[in-house]
Amino acid sequence: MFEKGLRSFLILVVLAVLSACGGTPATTTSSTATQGAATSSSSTMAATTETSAATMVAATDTSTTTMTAATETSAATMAAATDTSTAATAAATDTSAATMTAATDTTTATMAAATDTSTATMAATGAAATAAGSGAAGGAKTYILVPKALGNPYFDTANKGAQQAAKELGVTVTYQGPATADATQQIQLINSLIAQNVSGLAISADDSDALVPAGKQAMDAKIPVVTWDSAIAPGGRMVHINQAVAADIAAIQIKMASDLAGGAGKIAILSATSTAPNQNEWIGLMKEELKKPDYAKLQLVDTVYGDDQDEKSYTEAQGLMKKYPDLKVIIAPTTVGIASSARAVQDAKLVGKVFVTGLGTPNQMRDYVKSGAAPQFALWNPSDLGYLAIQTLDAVASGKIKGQPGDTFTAGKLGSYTIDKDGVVLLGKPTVFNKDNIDQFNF
Amino acid sequence: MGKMDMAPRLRAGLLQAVIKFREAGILVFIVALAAVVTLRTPAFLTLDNFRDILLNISILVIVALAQSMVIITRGVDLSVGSIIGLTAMMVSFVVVAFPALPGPVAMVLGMLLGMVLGSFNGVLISFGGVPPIIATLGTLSIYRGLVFWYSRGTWVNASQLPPGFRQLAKGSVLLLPNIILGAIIVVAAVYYFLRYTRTGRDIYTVGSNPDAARFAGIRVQRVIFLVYMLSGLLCGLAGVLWASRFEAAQTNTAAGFELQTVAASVVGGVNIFGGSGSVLGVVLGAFLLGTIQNALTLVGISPFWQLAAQGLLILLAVIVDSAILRRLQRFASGAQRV
Repeated sequence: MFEKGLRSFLILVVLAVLSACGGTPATTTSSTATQGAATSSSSTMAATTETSAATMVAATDTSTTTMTAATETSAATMAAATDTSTAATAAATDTSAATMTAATDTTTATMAAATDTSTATMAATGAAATAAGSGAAGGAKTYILVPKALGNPYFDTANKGAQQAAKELGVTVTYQGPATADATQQIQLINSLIAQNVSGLAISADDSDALVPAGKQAMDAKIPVVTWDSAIAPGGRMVHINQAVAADIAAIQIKMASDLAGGAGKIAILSATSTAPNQNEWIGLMKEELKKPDYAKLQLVDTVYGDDQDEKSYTEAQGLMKKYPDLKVIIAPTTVGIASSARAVQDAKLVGKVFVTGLGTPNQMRDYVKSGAAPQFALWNPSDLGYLAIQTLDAVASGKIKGQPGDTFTAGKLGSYTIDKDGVVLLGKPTVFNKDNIDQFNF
Repeated sequence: MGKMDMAPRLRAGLLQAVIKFREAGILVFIVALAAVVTLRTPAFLTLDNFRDILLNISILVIVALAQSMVIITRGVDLSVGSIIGLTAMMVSFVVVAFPALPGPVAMVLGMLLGMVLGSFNGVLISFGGVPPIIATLGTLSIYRGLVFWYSRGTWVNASQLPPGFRQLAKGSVLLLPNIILGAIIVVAAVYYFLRYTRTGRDIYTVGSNPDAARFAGIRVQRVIFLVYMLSGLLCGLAGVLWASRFEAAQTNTAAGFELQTVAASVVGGVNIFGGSGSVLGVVLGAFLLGTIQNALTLVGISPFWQLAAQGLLILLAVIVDSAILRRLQRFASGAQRV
């Protein structure tokens, strides 16, 4: 009996020590995060956090330790919120409110890892009420930009574009989303937003089918729904803003490779896993693209897979350079692979002989662009995506267009767009990042 | 007559020397593999490629040694990958916040952090009586969870890390890359520790017979706690080197690495049931794994087959190793009878 007690006590003490050493630099964490760290995988994040929390609860009653962690989390996120509030004052207050909700969400989720999402949603509803209230009082429209999950730099960047559109249109855009990329949570949030009678919803869907009823319900309540980044299936939204089509993504990568190789030579592809559907679609389309006469002198010699792991991607890139001593370009259509390849080229002192290109994020690639290991790469601009989402939503909500196929509208600085027959608006060609423009981007 | 039995005696002496050299089997396999690969891809047998293999296995060697110390005590540490991930992430955040922090300080910080995490394993297992595989399976998830919680899913990228920190693994002393130098120092230290210190010998005793060890007055719990703490410490060091070498800390850093370390230990002749294993064997085991990975990418085996081929080669290595060992032993006992 005594041994058991001692055991539990020990576990508790060490957990407390652990969260203490994890907790102290937490403030540093979020401030650096705001400075602009790169891509994130919130869905996995939440999942794992819950697992660990569950394990902790399973071990003993850890309420005290977890509480400390929770308090620090919310404090840190509040600080972050204050940092980011650069938009109009009203918008700023809303943002901080939303982010505070996010903090509450996270803490609640961590504290009661088991189930309790209802509390989190209630908190979200509260914030939504404030947002809608202030919107109505000002007489301006209040749109809600809903990401897959909060705390992801990609979506945060989209929100920056959305806030810019809001400023130009004279409306309020509130950024609200589930704490984790979870369709159930997103549906609950949307339901509460419908109850607040907001002026419009721009959603990046966590599940294309599961959100159809929620989208329908919103439209029945005369709340226009557009989706961006990730679509709700037709019927659950009016218009979808697509960031890029696969063919364009493939074409731009071959074009960049051709530029870097000087139009002729051996190229190779370093992909993520051999089963990733988007990767395989792009690779297939790239092979098609290479059949064009412009690229007749480019020779695709190999396709290897780095499994989106740093270590494996690095070794695979090393292997490519050894197997093909006259290799000119490595195309890596994956964020992990492109950085690892660039580093492998640098370490092998082959900068200027072997070039890396593909898809990546500016923060991650900044050094390699400047060193010349990866002079140019592409990705769509998430900020423009958020901007276009709000512009489209406003065009529909203000009655300028009905959201039918064939409708044409002007989206501020981005120019004119037409809705295609599937109810989709295409953002445009992917953006190419190089040493001239990379410092303008922070995501 | 006299000439007749001189030869076998000489041969027996030589054989015994070879048999004492327990790692002969694995060495034979490495040489054979290298020969086959060189025939197909001459680029394999170059000094550059050899250096690349060494660079790639340096971290594996460090962590595999930690793992083998644990395995020798009849345990296993499944949380090594997560400890590496967590220290890599935390130390990266620290050096981003304090770019002026000298590299060695970051290294010490990582080792301390790893030591704390390893001690937690040690407490659970030695004093808490939780079976090692369960305790470290739990902390594998806990520590990985902490990575996500701490980083909030973000990564630390190359451009954020100060140059001094990146130089830690990349720089070199007298043409020897720092990271290889680090591995050599760890190998030497662990070799000395296991062979010439009392605690080091206790580790073997505890692993081969815990009851006897207890009666011999060895504080078994303390020894077991110590190996997990040391494992954490070495993983902490590995985490810092990892972040420095790969110029990034990602949420999935070193995920799944624990299996590689177990493989390197076992291939290197560490007894999975505890009690025996040598530093040299583990180094060769890690070298074999590194060679296999390097060879598979160079030879150009279809990526869809690579994983299976890797497993097959590892199994083959173990079988060849034990077959050679058995034959040598039989041969030797035969020779001794003469």
